[in-house]
Amino acid sequence: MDRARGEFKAAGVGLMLIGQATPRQAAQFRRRQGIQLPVLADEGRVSYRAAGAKVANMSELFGPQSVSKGLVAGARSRRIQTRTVGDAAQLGGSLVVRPDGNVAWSHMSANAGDNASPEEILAAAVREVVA
Amino acid sequence: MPAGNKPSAPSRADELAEIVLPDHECHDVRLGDLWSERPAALIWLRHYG
Repeated sequence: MDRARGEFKAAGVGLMLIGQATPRQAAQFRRRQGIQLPVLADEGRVSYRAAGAKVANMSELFGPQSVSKGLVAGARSRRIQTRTVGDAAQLGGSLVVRPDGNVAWSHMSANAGDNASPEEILAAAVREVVA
Repeated sequence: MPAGNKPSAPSRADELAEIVLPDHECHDVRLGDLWSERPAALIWLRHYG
């Protein structure tokens, strides 16, 4: 996602990452992953609940679909999974929000391997700029 | 949201807009300010690691 930040900026779309830990842990995560985007720290997961993010059950965490997508994502990013910070069962997701507060597009994860690609998110956001 | 339920995003971001979170430098950010002037994409990470 961080690699696509220039395309979001060029399109006039804001982009923000939110993680479930402390500001210090967010800073460590940025350094370790080489991320330049800002990361918000939501240790209490208040925004996760407001966004409708799901807490996965065992099959949604370790089912074939989740595992296979996780392996592909790891190979693509060439990054190694390190120690998990936060609730491992908490899933994430993505929203594109218009200036009027309407949610124009969403993809909240249904399982651990269900993530929208940066291209999908950017395309949805650019549609809002053009509209 | 309880485990096993289908995820459901809100149709409006009013509840999200009022949430204030610290960034990685401990500066408070009100989420609604992110999309007040232009569309914004928000990405909730599954976890750090």
